[in-house]
Amino acid sequence: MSAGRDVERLIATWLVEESPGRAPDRILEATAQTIDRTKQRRFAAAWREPMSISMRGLAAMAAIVLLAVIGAGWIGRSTASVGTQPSPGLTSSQVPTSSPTPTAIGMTLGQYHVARDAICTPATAQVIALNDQGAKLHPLTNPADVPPFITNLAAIIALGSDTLDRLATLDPPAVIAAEHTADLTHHRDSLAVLNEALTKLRDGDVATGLAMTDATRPLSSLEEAFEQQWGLAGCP
Amino acid sequence: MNSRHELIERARCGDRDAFTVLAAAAIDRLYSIARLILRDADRAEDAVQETLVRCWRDLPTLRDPARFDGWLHRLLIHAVNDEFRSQRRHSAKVRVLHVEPAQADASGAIALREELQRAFERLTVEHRSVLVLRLYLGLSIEETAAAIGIPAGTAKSRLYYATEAMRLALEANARPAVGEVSA
Repeated sequence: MSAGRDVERLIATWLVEESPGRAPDRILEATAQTIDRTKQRRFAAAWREPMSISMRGLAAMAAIVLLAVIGAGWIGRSTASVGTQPSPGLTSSQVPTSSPTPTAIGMTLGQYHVARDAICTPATAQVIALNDQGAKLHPLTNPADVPPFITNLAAIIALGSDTLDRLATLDPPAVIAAEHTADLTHHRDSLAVLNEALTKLRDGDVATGLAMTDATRPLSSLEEAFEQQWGLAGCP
Repeated sequence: MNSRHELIERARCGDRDAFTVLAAAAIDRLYSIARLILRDADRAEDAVQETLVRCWRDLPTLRDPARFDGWLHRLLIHAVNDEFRSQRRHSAKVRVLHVEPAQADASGAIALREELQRAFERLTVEHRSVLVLRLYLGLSIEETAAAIGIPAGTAKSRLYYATEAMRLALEANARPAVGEVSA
């Protein structure tokens, strides 16, 4: 037996001796309390095994996400100044925003909450169903799964676009208007990245396409932060 | 569909009770791994809690429930890495003093444990992770690589270098110390 094997065996024995064996109960208790306040992520790329991606592909993805985040921040700031500077004589509920205004009088925060959740809740249920269909597919290892995976992703993008259009018709109160607009931008940017991923998949570059779906995570985190801050339903 | 698979599916759909059962079944293993890599009980607790919260949050994104364990290990290794980096920031100024090796007598077993501990603590977190996953948990090289998120070849070379580093450190500790000065 080689010296390396001997050392491995020595280390293995030592690790077993050092192992604490049992975890303190307080970890599970603290975790239970935390997950009571934690929403599950419903619209994100699914986890898969590590894959090889070219440096060029990585650089392209990083550039897209960076541009999307910078763009979102810039639009958020520019619209914040529009949404938070009311014209003389207007009440806070009548402050104009960059969103389309279907009614002459803006919504209250409660109305916005209800209207947004009415759009997002059923859309989220549809996305979960689509995610479950996608979860059965393994396009990286099984070429036959690529076409149905593309169809699945296209359906998710279509659903996301429809949801975005409907969110854009809301007329939020000034207190949330800027963040609502920034959230729309994050959704739009996520869709742009997913559309890029779709193009890659259709071009046969499956690894890059799948990795690009992962690249929407930073944007999803921003969307979730907004939803959690205001107690809103998750939105695909 | 077996009961564990059902639990994972239920937890994916937001069933907290199902998730608690899954977490309870995994927590001792997760804590042992974190504690062995981090060498710190409090930070291991934090890493495991963070892992379980991330697990709950991201479970709907797990494409294949059959890969739950590998995915959970990967979340744990991420959390452990985060804790380790944070630990290094706080303890960067703490200097490790060289301790004279114990004499090879009746306390030889204790001395060996101390030598192993010192050698292990000199390793990077990446090397510690490979050793713990491969030699303590008994994962294959491929499973170890997946848990860390690296290619199998990289996991293999890390295992080699970590084992070599341990072997060399043990050999060095076994030699008599000559003119050592600790400032």
